[in-house]
Amino acid sequence: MNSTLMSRRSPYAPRPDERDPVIVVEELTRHYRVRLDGERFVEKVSRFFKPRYRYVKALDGVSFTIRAGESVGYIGLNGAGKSTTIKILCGVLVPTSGIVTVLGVEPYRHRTRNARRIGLMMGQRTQLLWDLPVRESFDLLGRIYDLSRETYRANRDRLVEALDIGDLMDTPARMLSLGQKTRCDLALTFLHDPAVVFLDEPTIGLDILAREKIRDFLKAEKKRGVTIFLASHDLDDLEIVTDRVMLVHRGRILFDGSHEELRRVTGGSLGILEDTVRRFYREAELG
Amino acid sequence: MKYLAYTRCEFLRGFRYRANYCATLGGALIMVVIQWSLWTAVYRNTGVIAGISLGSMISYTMMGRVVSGFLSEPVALPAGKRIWSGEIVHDLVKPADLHFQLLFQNLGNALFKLVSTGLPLLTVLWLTGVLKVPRLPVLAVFVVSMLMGYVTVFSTSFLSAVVTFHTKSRVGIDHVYTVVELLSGMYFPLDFFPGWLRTVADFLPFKSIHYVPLGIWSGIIAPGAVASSLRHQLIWTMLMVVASRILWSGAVRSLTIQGG
Amino acid sequence: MVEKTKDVARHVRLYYWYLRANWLSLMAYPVPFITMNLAGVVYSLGSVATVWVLFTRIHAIGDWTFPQVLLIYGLSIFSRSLFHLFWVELMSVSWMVRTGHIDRLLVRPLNPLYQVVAGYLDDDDWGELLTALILIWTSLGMLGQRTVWNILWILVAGISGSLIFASMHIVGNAMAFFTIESSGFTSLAWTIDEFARYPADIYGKGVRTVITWVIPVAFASFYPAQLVFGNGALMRMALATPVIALMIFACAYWFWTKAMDCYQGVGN
Repeated sequence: MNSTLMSRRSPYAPRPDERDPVIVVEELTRHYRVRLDGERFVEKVSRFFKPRYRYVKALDGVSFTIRAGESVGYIGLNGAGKSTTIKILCGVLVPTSGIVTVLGVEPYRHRTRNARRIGLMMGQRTQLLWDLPVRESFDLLGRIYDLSRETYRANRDRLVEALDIGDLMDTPARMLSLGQKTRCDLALTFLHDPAVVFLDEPTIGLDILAREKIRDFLKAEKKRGVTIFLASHDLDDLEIVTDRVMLVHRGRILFDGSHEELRRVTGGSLGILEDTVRRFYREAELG
Repeated sequence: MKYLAYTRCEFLRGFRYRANYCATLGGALIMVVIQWSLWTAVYRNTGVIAGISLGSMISYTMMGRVVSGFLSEPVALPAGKRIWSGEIVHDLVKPADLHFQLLFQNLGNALFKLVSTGLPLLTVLWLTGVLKVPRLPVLAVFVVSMLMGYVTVFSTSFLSAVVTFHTKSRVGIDHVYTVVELLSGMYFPLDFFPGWLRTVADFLPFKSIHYVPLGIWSGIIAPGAVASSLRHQLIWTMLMVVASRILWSGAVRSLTIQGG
Repeated sequence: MVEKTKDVARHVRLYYWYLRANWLSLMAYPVPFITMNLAGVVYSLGSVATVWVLFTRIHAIGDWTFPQVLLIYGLSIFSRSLFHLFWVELMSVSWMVRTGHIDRLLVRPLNPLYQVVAGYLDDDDWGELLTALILIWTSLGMLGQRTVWNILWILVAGISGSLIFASMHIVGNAMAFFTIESSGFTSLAWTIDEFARYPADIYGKGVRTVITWVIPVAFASFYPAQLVFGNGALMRMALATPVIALMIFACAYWFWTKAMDCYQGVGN
């Protein structure tokens, strides 16, 4: 049988480097225009008539490839360009320059086609219907993604089981705790069987137990062959869930490799990822 | 005075949004056109309505547009919303009195509207001969009256916000604000009202928002009646500020004792 | 073409489920729903009282009699309340852009404007609709024009009018994609609505041309009312109402997509 066809049909091919690339990013840049405020009274009033702008390079030449079934962590300080990258990969933002493909298409040009195959979860920005029982959010989202009744039921039941949210299904979303809400949101993100999932700070503000449940769930999804792109400040999350990490700083990728490699590069003896990352930041600031 | 810092800050904030300002000015011009056309059409077949000539009417309504931003319902007043969201706690830990802080903060916003929209409008209306600026003493009385109008409009919303806090209801004065607008004389002078409604409106504080200052400006309030109108404004202004203080300290007490 | 039709059908089908979820959300708080709407009736009566007080003193606006002015006024708030009830979430676009909630709508396989609008049903404006219906019914009675055809026409005119209002508010709120702070444009759109309240011929020639052919708010009340008045001179204008509404809506939608492109950073 044709081997390329095989690997396309099944994203769970044994050797990672042989799998199909799911996300390809080449020399990606993204600039923003920021309006400058005056400092003094006169300045504030005069810039009302003649505004001045500054250009910020949120992303400044980023390249990477992610293959099917990979699980990649994306770390960086606030404002390093994490969210901008995710927004571009989801088709929300258009690159200033560079090439981006997700599952073979440019996300911005084929926004809805891309949307059907990806999942996005933004921490602390729920997509639950606030005043209604959680079940209603599942129903509506199942319809939005055109799932057949059988697929919908099967997926929902699997996720409810995996995230242990069966008891919450009939509770209005506004009455849930943050941990419960996050689990429901996670289930909604995976409801339509996305091939790639982008998670932006999914565990932000959660306690240890809630985090553990979420990590276990993500590990299981990884085994099922879902490609995971996880942006997080929580290095424990990354260590447990991902097998590759990219470090972004001031719009550039400083490091791209396994956790072990990252430790090796920064001196080996450091066991804690956090220290490694901190050292990297310091070097980047100096350089 | 430390509260003036809030006024300054809020005044300057208005300068941040340029395109937004152009839209506001455009909206103000549109309202001038609508009002002018409406009253001209209304007076087409008659000379005097309810004792008011077209000239006085135009003077009243056009000046009404000039000060409408200054005397508008303070939507920037966050009291109601803040009380709802519990953010009020942030304000309680600051060493300033929230009631006065909001009064002066909103004054900054109102002044921005007056300077940025009202003044250009007044200039245009004056240059085109639609509005005539009255003599200096009348002008002075008008400014005093307008300031009392500002305190009234602020106090109306503030009182409503505090009352909704006490009653835990979601309906505030802003949900029935058209009634306040009508009774304040925003659309036309109270002289148009039928007798019983006039009696009601004369008693209530709302006429101090538009009718008294604009009546003084346009001469619709006869010079002999100006003193009593100002007295009405002064009494109601003081009453509303005192009522705000009492209900407000009640709200603060229930927040600090019962925790909201 | 077939794809497009299918897609539209999908959106229409989904609207029922959105409506259902919205209605259930409103019913989660029955008491506030009722009190807010009672207040809404008072609010609308306040503006009706304004017209009524005016007419205790004056007997016509320009060449239009009291019942005629009342019908024009009633039609304008009928259109506006329909717009308000179903499109109110447009007012949140600025907030959605500021907080990033708009991004969520962009990663779903549906039209973003559709999602904004379908996502919420107004809770406090049913009173305005009621007031509009009372005004229209009363004025039709005074005019001796309570016929089935007239009522059907009022319905068509109301829906067309709501599309016209929606178009202006789409443009006003889409400004949030350029400027983030768009409250000035939003209130500008509300101000332009005011043109529809009074007979369009009270305005000067320039203004009348603008509100007929550029920002066609006169088609939200004044022109469709002419059919009821049986005004032969303006009959063709009256009948053009639905066409004009669709055309202006298409323009507004085009503007919205351009504004979205700017937000997403196309070509900068």
